[in-house]
Amino acid sequence: MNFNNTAQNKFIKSLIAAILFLLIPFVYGYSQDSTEKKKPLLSITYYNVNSDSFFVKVSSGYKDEKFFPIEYQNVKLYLNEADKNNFLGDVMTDPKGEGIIHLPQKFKGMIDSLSTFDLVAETDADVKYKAAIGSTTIENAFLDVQIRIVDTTKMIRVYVYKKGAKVKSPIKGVEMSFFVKRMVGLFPLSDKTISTDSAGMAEMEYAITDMPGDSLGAILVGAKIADADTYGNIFSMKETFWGAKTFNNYESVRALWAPADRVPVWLIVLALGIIITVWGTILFIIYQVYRIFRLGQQEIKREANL
Amino acid sequence: MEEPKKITNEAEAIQMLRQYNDDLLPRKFGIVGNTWTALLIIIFLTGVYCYTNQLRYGLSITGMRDFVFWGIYISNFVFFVAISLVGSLVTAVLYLLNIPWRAPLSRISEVIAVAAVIFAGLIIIVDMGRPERIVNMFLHGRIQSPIVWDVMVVTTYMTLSILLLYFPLLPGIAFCRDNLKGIPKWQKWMYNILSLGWKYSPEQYHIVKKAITILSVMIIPVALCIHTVTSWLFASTYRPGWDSTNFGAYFVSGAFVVGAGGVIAGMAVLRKFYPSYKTYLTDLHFDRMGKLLVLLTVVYAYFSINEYLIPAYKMKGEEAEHLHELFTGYYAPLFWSVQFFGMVLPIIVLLFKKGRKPIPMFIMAVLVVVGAWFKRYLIVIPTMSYLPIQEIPEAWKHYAPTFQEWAITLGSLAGALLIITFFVRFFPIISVWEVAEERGVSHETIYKHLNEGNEK
Repeated sequence: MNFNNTAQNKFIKSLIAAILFLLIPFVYGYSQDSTEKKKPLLSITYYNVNSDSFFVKVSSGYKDEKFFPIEYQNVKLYLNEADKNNFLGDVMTDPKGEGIIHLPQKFKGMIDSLSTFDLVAETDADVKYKAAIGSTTIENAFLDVQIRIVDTTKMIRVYVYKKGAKVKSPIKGVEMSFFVKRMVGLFPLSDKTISTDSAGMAEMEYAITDMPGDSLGAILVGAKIADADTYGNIFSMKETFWGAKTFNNYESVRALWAPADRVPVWLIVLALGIIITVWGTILFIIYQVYRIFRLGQQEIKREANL
Repeated sequence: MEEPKKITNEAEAIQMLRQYNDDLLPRKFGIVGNTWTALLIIIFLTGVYCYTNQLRYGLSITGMRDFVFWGIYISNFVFFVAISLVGSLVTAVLYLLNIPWRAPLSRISEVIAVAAVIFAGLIIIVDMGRPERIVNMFLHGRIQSPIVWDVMVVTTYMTLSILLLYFPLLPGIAFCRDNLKGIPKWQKWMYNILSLGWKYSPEQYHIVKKAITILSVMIIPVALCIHTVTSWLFASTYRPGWDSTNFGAYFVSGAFVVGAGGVIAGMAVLRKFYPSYKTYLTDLHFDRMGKLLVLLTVVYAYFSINEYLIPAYKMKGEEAEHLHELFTGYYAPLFWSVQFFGMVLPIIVLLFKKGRKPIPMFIMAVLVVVGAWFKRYLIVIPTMSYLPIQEIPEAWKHYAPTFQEWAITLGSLAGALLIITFFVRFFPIISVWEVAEERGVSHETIYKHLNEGNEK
């Protein structure tokens, strides 16, 4: 390349300088600022689904006149105390300052057997934030959902008991909501909650007649304790056949979403047409390779005979 | 800048052809070439080693998880598919349009296309945790699925690209067979096998010309298909950032840009390390390719604006969250860098005549190619972080490629560059007979001359 061309060299130098200059904001953008460190406020919310899936939501933020979430912060979560043997896992907060962790399998049995336990969240100090610790105490409870039909009325009944007690110990005065589980959420059966009685029981009528179920009408109905300071969030569900039977004929028609043996005819014709045309031509071209080879061999023989 | 004059008399043509042969026959690498090759081999083998780890331990050695299940392997696949389109652009489109400065560039572009499409196919297999299960796709694949279409079209394009590289190369291989002295036996044997007993006969020449024309016509729709179908892998979903009717045109226009950038970078490197190539890869070629790159980039900018402006105008639901992350959020520095350095700056620089000289062109081409890789990263990764499911651990939404994943990805890039490097080492990267034809030399004269070389 011509390095003697002064004008060109000047142009290139200016170009490189311009690129470096333009990179400055990006580099600066990643640098840390030196403002005063904030103290994170950590909050912990506990979830128990069917005594099978346990998870915890951690929120982190700080207060500076109003509340600001802290995004992409690593929060360590412990059971009972901040000790490495009780370490449940790391949670990374999202742009809303929230993060979720599903509790490891080895802790499930332990949590199930405790009457109360603490969840402890801890963050280390970094360039922006001070170290922080937060905790919550959970009283362990479980829900026993029962379904029954009284005359022709469909009823969902739930009993709430303390966990870890030697004898069944009902909990009175817990606010319960009832729902039907749908694909991506819970369909509430009522806006109102029902408080458990001295037997720990709450009950609601299931009055819906056309809730879509599967081909047998199966749906999941359930009850939940939502956002209770003492108990956290506890869900329990049971399958019933109270839904409307739904049938689909997706698998019996030829369609783009159908299985491999139900390809639309037009697609078969189109695909085969393209494949045969294109690969037929390719095979013809490959045959030309053979023709070139044969012509070469004939030429070699002719030269040998001369 | 003038186009080369046409050769009118036979003596001048023969003299020019002899000069071409001296200049364009492949030769041994110097220290720079050998160091470059060794470096690529080391990177490639590191990638192969990490891939054996992936085979042993599964995809858990990567940063991909249940939700972000397409990572840099797929970004890399889209990049390879994109850059491979250059074969159809320079070799086929410019050939059929009879563009007079095309010939020295055609083989460079075609070998880039072949190397890229081979590794596009391989990287898809690398992305599979159980690569042997690819057989199931052929046995049980749904022809309704864009993934099946993509496998078919990648295979077809690879075959066409190899044939389009091979046919014009035949006389060149035969000339290496007859004229390269002091080469190892295996190299001689390779030329013998690959030249198919080429004897410079008019019949063989006629077959080659016919095959090139057919292939050039056929490769254009297949090339458009390969990148359109790749875009449909994304666009046929409802995911924010992918759910777009503009995606096919957006991908194809972007592919032409990165392909042209790849050829310009290749031209500049060859000119630097093979001084005799300056006669063939002239300032005129850089000027023309610069103008072409500006045109392609402007078209790409048009589709990019369509891709982002209209969703940003509506800002609906998850699409808004996705766009905020790109425009002002976590991915903003990368997003705006890619737009500026990979699209805006090359347009501005290449609009000036001084900007279309080899060195600034090389810098712009590298920016375009690197920008294009990261653009594919931005197309694939951020979208996977937005899930229509609530209450899942935040860690599941985030993706950071692991060292082994980077090593495999870089290994694949090194592998593609190795194919190009070995090609330059063992075959003429500029086609003598096509350059001579471009200068107006009749094929009878070319073949008479080449045959003289054979008889020497």
